[in-house]
Amino acid sequence: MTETTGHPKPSAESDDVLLSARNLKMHFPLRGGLLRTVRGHVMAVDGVSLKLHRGETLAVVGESGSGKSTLARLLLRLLEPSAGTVFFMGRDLTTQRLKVVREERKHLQMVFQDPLSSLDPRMTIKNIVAEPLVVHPIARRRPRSVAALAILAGIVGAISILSALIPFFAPVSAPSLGFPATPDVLVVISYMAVGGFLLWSALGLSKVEGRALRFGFGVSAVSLGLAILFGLNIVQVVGSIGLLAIMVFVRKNFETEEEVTQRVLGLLELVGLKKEHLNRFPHEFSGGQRQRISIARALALNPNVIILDEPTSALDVSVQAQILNLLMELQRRLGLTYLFITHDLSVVYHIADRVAVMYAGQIVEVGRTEEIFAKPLHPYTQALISAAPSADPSRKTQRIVLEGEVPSATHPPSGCRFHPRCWLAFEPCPKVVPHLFDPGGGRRVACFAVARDLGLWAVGGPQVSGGTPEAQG
Amino acid sequence: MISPVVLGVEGLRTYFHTYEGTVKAVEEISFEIRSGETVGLVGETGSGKTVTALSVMRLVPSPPGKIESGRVFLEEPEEVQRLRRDYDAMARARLQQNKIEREITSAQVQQALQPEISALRAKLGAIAKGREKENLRLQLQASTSEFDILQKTEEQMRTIRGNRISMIFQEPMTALNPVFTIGDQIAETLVLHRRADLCSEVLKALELEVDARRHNVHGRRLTVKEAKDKGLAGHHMGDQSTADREIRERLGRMKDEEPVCSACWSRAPDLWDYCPSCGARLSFDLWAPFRSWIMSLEKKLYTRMMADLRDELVDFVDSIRFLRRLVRNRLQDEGVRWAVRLLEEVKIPDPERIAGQYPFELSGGMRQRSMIAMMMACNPTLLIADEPTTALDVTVEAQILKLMKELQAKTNMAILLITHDLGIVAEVCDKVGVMYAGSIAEFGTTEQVFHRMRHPYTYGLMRSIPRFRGVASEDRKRELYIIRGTVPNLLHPPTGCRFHPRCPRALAICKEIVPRLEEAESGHLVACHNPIPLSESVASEAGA
Repeated sequence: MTETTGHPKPSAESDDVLLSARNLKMHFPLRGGLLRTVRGHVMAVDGVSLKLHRGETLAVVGESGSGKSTLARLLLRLLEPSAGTVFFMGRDLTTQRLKVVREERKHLQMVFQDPLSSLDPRMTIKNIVAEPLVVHPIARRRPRSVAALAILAGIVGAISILSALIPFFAPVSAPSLGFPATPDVLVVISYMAVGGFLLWSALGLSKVEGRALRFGFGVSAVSLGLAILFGLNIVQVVGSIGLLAIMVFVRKNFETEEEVTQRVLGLLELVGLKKEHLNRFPHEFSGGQRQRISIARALALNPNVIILDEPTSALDVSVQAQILNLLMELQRRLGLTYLFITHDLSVVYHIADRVAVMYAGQIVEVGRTEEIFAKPLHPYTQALISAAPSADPSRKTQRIVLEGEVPSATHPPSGCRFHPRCWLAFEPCPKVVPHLFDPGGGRRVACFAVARDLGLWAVGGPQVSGGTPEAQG
Repeated sequence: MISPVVLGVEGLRTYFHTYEGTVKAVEEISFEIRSGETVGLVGETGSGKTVTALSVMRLVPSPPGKIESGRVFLEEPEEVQRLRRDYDAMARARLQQNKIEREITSAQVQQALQPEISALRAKLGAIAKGREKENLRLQLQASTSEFDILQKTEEQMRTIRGNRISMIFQEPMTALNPVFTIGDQIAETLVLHRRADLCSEVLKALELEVDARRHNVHGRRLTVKEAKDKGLAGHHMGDQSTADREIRERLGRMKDEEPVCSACWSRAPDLWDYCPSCGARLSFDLWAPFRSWIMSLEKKLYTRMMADLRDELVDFVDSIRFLRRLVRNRLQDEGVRWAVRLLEEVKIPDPERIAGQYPFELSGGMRQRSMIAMMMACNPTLLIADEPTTALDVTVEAQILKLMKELQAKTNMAILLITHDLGIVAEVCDKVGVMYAGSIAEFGTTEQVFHRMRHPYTYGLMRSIPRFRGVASEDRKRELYIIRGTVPNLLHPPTGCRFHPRCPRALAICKEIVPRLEEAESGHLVACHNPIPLSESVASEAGA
C-alpha cells in the first residue's frame, strides 16, 4: 500500500533511464569548538530521487541554497553523498571505486555557471578542449611513453640493420643469433627494410607524426611479407609480427597532434567557433564564447548526459538566446540528454521537457513542463511561477509574495520544509514530512494540502506515497 | 496635472581615459524623470547604464573617468526650465541663421531660401520679444548653476548625495560596512543628513526627562519575564480590567528579555535613565543635580543645532572632547531608535534585533531591505536603484519590488531603475530607456517600448528572451531570435549608429551619421535612421 510504484530494481529499471538518483542525501558536517567536534549538519540535499530519461531535458529549478548545484555534484560524484545511490546507465556510481567512476564520467559531463573560472587562464583553447581527450584514454597523448617507445624502436632498428650487415663482414659469428650465415641478397634487403622502417618510425614516433605511423604500418606489413616469402626464419617472423603488434597498439592508443587538432576543430565548429580561435586564451573571449568553449569541452568525449549548472545565468539576454539555441540544436543533432539546473523559469519553459522543483534540499514537485506551468500544484511552485516577472507590461500578474526567507539548511523546519511560509499549511504539515505522490497525470508532488484536496488525505496519514520510501520525520 | 521634473539629463557624455585609449562609455544621453515615476534603463553589460547613474551622482571614479559634457538638473523649477529651453532654442536658431547666411553667398540661392530665413527671424523675434536678452542670459546662468549637479562643488554634492538622491546597489554586502551593526549604520546616515530632525527628537526625549524630574515619577526597569512572573501585581495603573488586558497583550508580543518600565509597562530601552513613554525615572541617579545642569546645556545645544545649517556649531562641538562624546552619543542613540522605526517600515521582522546585527548575519533579502531603510532615512526625491534585485531569488525579488513600489506610493519619490531584466522593467517601470553601447536607442512608456518598439535593437532584445506566459506549449522549443555579433568594444565604437554592424535593417547612412533621438509618437523617442514600421512591430508582438 505504501509502495505503489515499488522499489525500482537497482539497475535494470529500463533502458530508457540513463541516470537515476535514489534518496540522495548530502549532509555537510559543521565542526566547531575546541576539539573540532561535529556540531550539526548542513542538509544541502536531503532525500532526492529523480530519473533522467534518454534524450530528454530535465530542469531542476529552485532558489539559491535549495541544493541544486550540490545535487549536480553528487550525481557526478564530485562529492561523496552521505546516503543514497546514483545509477548511471545501470551502474551504481556511489559504490564504485573512483577509477571506475572516472571512466563513467566520459559519458557524463558537466558545464559550469561561470565559464571564466572553469577555464584554465593559462591554457589555449585547443588545449582546454583537448584536455578530456588527453585525460581519458580515448586518445592518449603521453609524450614520455611515446619517446620511450621511439627509443626502443630505434635500438631494435639499429640492431636489425647491423645484423643484416654482419654476414658480409663476419659470416661465422652470425648463426648464433639465428640469422642466416650466407649473404642472401633478398634476405639482407628485407632486414635492411625492417631496420630502416624501425628507425624511421622511431623518428616519426618522437615527433608523433601521423604520416610516419601510417608509413611505418605499411612497411612493417611489407617486411613481414618479405620474411615469409624469402626467409621463413622463426625469429624473423616473430619479430615482424611483434613489430606489427606494437604499431597497432600505437595506432590505437596514441592520437597524433594533428588528429587531435582536427577533432578540436570539429568540436569548435559544432559550437560555432572558428579556426582562428584555436590558439587564443580564455580571457580573449566574451562571456558567450567562453560558455561555448565549456560546451565544446563537455562534448569532447561524446557524452550521453550533460549536466548544465546555470549555463546562461551569467550571460546577457541576447547571448543567452544564442547559447540556448546552440544547446537545443546540439541536443537535436547528437541526441544528448540534459540535466539543466537554473533559477530562471522562462528558460526552463523554453528548453525543458520535465521540471523538478527543489526547495530546501528536497524535490517538492516533478512533472512535464507544460503541465507544471499550466497548473502548478505545490504552493511553492505556484509562488515561484507567479513571482517570475514577465516581460510584458500588459500582462501584469497577480504575484504571490511569499513571507519570510528560504529556511536555514542547518535547522530546517520540521515536517514539510515549506510550511512556515505556506498559506495552505494545516495540521499535519509541521509534523510529518510529505512524500512525493502521484496526483494523476504522471506528475509527482509532495504536499498534504494537495493530497487533501484530491481526497487522498485521510485520518492516519497519507494514503499514497512513493519515490522516497525512507521517511525522515 | 503633470508632476514636476525631478531629474533632467541633457547631453550627458562620460569618457574613461585609459592607457589603451578613450572609452566612450556614455555618449549624449538625455532623459527626464518626473516625481512619482519609475524610469527603467535596460541594456546589456557595458551599455553604460551604471556609468549614467554614477555620473548623475557624480561618483564616476576620476581619473580615469570624466564627465565630458552635458547637464544634469535636479528639481529644476518648470519656469526656469522653460526659460532655459527657450534660450537654447534661440541660440540654436541664431547659429543656424548665421550658418545659412555665411555659407550661402549666391544671391539666387539666398532668394530661394528667403522664406526659411524670414521664418527663423520671426521665431527669434518671438522668443526675444519682451525679454531683455542680456538679462535673460545672466539670469539663466545663475539658475543653471543652481540646479545643475555637474556644476556643484564637492562640498555641495555631499549634501545632495544620500539626501536628495539616494542609491541602492546590486550587492548590498559591498555597500554595507561589515564592522558596524545595521542600526549604527543607519544612525550614521541620520546623524549626517537628518541632524535637525534628530535634534528635535532628542529634545523631545530630554523634555520627557525634565518632566519626569518635575513630577518625580518613579519606576523600575524590569524584563518582560520578571513582569509576567510578578503577575503585574501592584502596578499603579488605574482601571484593572481593560488596561490590564491590554498590557498583558502587549507584554505577550514582546520577548522575555526585553526591558520594560514598571510604571507604564511599555518598552524602556537601556539607553535612557527615564522611560521614553511615560517619563518615569528608572534608575537611581547620583549625579542628578549635575545632570540637570548638563541637560539644560544640552537643550540649548540641540535647539541651536537645529538651526545650524552651516555646521559651525557641530565643528565647535567636535573640537571639544567632552561635548563631542556627549552629543555624538546622544544623537547616535536616538538615531538607532529611529533606525528601528525605519526597519519596521521596510517590513523587517523583529527590527530591534536586526538593528543590533552585523550585515553578514543577514540574508541577501534582509540586507537589501536594510539598504532601502538607510535610503529611506533621508526622504530622497530621487532613488537610483542599480540592479537592486539581481543578486536575489525570485520570491525575494518579488518582496523587494513590492516594497519599493509601496514606499514610492507613500513618499512620491522618483525611481531610476537600472537593470538588465526586461521582466522587472515591464512589471515596475512607467517609462523605459533602452541603452546600447553608451547611448539611448529608444525611450518611451513601458507600453510603447514593449508593444510598439521601433528600434531594431529593442525588437531583437524583446524577441530573444524566452517567455512562458502566453506562449503555447507547442511553441516552446522553437529557436530564439538572435541578434548576431557581440557588443562592440567602446574603445573603438563603430562609426555612425553604434548598432549598425549588428543591425538587420542597416542602411548606408547608418555607417556615416549618428542618429538622433526623434519622436516617433508622443513621448516615444527612437534613435534610428530606418526604424521598424509600426505595423510590423505590433504584428510581431501579436505573433510572439
